[in-house]
Amino acid sequence: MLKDITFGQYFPGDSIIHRLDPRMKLILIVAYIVLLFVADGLFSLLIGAGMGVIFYALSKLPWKLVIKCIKPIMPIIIFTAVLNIFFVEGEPLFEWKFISISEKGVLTAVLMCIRIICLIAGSSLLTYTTTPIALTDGLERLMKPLQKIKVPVHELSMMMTIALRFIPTLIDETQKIMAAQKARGADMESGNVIQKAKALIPILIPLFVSAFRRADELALAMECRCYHGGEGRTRMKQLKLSGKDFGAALFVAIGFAAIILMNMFGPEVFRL
Amino acid sequence: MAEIIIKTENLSYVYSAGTPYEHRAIDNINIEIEKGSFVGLIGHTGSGKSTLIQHLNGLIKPTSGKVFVGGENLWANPKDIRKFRFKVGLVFQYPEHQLFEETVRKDIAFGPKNMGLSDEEIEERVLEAAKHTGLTADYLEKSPFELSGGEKRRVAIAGVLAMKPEVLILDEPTAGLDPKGREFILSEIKAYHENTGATVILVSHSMEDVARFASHVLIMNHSKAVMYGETREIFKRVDELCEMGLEVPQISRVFAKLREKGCEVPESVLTVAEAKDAVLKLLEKGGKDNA
Repeated sequence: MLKDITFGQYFPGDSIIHRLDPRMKLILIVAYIVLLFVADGLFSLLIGAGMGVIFYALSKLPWKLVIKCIKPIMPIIIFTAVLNIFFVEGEPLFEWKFISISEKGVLTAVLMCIRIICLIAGSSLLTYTTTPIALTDGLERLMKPLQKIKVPVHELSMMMTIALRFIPTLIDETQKIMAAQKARGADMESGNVIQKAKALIPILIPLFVSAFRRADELALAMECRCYHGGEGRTRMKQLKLSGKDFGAALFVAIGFAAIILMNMFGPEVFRL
Repeated sequence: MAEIIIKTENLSYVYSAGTPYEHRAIDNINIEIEKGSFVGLIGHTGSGKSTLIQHLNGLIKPTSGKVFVGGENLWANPKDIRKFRFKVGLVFQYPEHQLFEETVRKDIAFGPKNMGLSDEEIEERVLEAAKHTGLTADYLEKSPFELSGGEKRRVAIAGVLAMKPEVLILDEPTAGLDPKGREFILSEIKAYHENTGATVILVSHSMEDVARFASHVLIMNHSKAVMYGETREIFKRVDELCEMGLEVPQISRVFAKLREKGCEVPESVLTVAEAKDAVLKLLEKGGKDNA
């Protein structure tokens, strides 16, 4: 149950996407999301979707991962689609009593679905191909200018790194504690809401106790190795932009340009 | 032949099937454990010991194969799985991490309470389990979080003993304890085994402990059950065990070497006391020969 959480799960590999600089990946994913919203017609959005497909193909990840990350947001997609189909006004395609479906409504629904799918698939690709540590590292570097206005960038990213580092540990721990309490006959499946909430106590208390213990131990271990915050700290892994990063940037830039051109000069059908 | 309490048939389990992390934790295990025996389970870290024992009380559903407890198929009716948890008590590694109640008394009572016993019965069992683990009355009202590591572990073990399981499984119950704590826990397990006639499965890395307490030994290597038999028989196979990178009790190793050198000592010597007898016998005989 717990180990099925895949959003934000790293999927090891050695493809060109895996090896891109995390900073570049972060910037490009933001650009990609903007690009999805700039596209205002079916054709320009398909260019965006095509870019997503190319990125996935380059990452050499199994295709079923796309389905896996979209599954949990399926209700949202369906909800959006239904809302748009029924409530966007325009020339009616179909009318029956109080229900009227317009061409514009159907088009909006289709475009929104493609957008959401691309959005989730794109950001999942980022977390599938980048280790959480590399990701926070990249974030820290990108946010560095904020230090000038006294934002504790290093501390924030250290907190994030530690939190990310301990998610699998805590999931592991939770499963162990659950197994131990089940071995003593704890019943977590049956009963009403209140009984189920009560059944969580034997799991949550040991979990909190161990989380605090771990935090203490970690703080001590960090102090023993003379950790004193971000000032003057050097890194073992220096991030360096290379040819492939600029290549990826160029690719996204071309896609962006193509979408803007398509918006301006493309066919006037399937537009909002 | 004695009654079989635990039996597995072609038991296999695969972790994270269908992902790059796929791992076959146990592979085609067929064992039969007799009622009332004391089984030492030995194997390297990652050999599948912990996965195997979690199958025996139905915490893990096998990928394929069957588990029988007292002749009943564990997964014949998945809704009834909890009754096997009370029959087969499982003490995990570092069990002190599972304590959660305000007082020791309440924590030990958690298992019996889940069994749906009456208040008097629960109270009786708590006192009995506390006695088994050497916890005196003044411990019962303390918070489990203010106890020392060794005491916490005793409370956790008492929590399982209070369910009066027919089969008691312990996963390295002495890990991280000092010699005195180890000795105490092992002797209380032995006492429970002798007083109640329960079957005990002890996962351990210490060959000396297994040699001292276990009547049978099960050896796991690379997800497979490679040997199962009486302790004495298993520890005779010094060479095979060493090949797997496992140790035999020090004293057995010494005597295996002595036999190699041509001394007439018995084939299986497990404890220091046995070794003393064997050496004395040899000296006596040697003395007569020389005379």
